[in-house]
Amino acid sequence: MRGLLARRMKFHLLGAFLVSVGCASLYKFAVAEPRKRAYAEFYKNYDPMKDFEAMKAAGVFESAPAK
Amino acid sequence: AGVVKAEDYTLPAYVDRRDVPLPEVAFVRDLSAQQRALKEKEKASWSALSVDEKVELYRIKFNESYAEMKKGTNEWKTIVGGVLFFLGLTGVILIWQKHFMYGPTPHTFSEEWLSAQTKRMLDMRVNPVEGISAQWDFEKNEWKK
Repeated sequence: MRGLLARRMKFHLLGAFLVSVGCASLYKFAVAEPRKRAYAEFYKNYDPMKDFEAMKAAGVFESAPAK
Repeated sequence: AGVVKAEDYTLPAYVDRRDVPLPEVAFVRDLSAQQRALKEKEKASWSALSVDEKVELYRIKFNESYAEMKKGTNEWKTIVGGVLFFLGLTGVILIWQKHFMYGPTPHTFSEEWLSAQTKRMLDMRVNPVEGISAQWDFEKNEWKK
């Protein structure tokens, strides 16, 4: 009759939609994108052999001693 | 007559609820002589009633008005105070425990052990993308600024 439930429902449906989309986009731009960029940057000029030699020299490998 | 007297709780009851605008019974059940006279006057034209009489008729029928029903209480202050108090009490208990009850922390938490541990983590390149090895400058042999 006075649309009390309808008005409340409309308000909350819109609010819930905005809140969830907001949370998702906030996560995407604050967490997901920076992480993807960090990985891309790391592997852009990554030399695994050099990394291996550095770790071997530090003596952390049992099967590849530092000598 | 063999009929059991109806208990109070089985009869329709008055209730102050926002979603029940017109309760099943009036609030005041047993009217005084004055109130009964007022109810008789109510049967005549309502414009003859004074404002006070109208308010009295309202209070016979209803306990709290909507404004009074919806009014908040100060209960939240009690709750917040209680929560903070018990958090503090827990803190006191923890401090007492650390001081009087627990033994010494393991030797693996000493400064020397922790620095040797961190050095080994860096040597192994633990979490090199976003974690600890990413914060260390391997050329200059120091933490990145």
